[in-house]
Amino acid sequence: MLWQLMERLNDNPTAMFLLPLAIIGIGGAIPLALESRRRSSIDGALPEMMELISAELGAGLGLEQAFADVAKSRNDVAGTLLDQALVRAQATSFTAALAKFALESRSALVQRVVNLLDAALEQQAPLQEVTYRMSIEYEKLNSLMRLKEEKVFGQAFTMIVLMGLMLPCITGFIVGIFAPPSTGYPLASTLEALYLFSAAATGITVTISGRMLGRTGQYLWSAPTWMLLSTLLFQGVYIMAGNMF
Amino acid sequence: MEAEERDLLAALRAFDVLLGAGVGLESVLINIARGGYGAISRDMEKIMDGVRSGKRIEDELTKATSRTKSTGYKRLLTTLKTNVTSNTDLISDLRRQADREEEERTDRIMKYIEALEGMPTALLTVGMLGPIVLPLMAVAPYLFAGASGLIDVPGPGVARMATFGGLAFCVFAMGLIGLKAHTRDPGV
Repeated sequence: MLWQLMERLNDNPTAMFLLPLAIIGIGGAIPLALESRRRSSIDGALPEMMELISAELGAGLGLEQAFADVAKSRNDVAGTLLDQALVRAQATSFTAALAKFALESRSALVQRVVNLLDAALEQQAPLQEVTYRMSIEYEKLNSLMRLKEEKVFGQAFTMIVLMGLMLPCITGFIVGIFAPPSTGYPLASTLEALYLFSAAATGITVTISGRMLGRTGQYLWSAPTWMLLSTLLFQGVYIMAGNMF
Repeated sequence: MEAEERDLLAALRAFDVLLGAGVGLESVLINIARGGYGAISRDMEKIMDGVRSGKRIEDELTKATSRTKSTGYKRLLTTLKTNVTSNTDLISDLRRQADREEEERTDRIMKYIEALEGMPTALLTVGMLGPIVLPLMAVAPYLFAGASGLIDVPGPGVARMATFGGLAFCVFAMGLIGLKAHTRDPGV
């Protein structure tokens, strides 16, 4: 059975080419997906953290104490990172702790917030007002990003399902019915072109979906897996339909 | 979309926070020029380089206004220049501008989502018609082999080339359709 499958795979040079790329691609896509999830968790937590800090400052606590309280009250990635930065910076200074937090968060939003806080601290500005305004601003930005993600994700997912899974099944079935191997038409090169087309169409769709969601890198790494799946689906359905009718 | 518009709102909010906190305009420009705001940071760096070399800040702001194509960024620079020359209420002007930018950004995202709505259908149409119609062309010389005297049937080589060309064109067309996702991205 396994040898038969391998033999079938030999007829599909596109799949043979994509198989190692897909294995490598999975290895590249997983860290990027984890990083994206981690960063969106930190960005999502930022407005709430700013609001809490503003409330603590309003209650008369100092900025350092407010940050420490916020770090202890949260058990998410942002809280853990902030806590670690504050502990590590005990030997240095509070601004060094903030810089460490910004650096390790790897988030542009956090880095901007820390930069602004740093400047406000230097100028002895009213920090309660500053942090409160930041919390409102980043809440608005986050809800807009969530809205975009929700709306666009549906379309991106539909496109991948349609082009990567449905299209190879339909076209493989139609080609299998009208030109099965039993007819004896010399269509080997045309079939090879269709295997390649199936993979290329899926690859383009996955890249477009990634661009729509702003995660082109992550989707590019996962593209070979989808392309392999698509070309194998086409081949499998073509063989099945060809043998059935 | 111009490069400056990508980070304009964040820069406007930074101006608002820092000026509201009592930081001077020149210090704010230095802070923005340090980085984090993309093309705006680079442009602010040029402005500050000019100021450091002895030129007047209003002249540098005017020069920067003529350099950019982004209307929003041009508006920001003009507001800054007016403040330097006429001492206007900069914070409230920038807040108004930031609110306007925010509305425009929301509109841009909505338009982007609307622009993408037809994309799955368009991709599926091109992606489906190609592999259904073109293999028929490849089979045609064999299907109509007996009727070569009645109808003009292309040879297998020509039919195969037409099929391959057609499939390649379909992939190219799909790429062109998908380009919209990149060119119309509002960049939030």
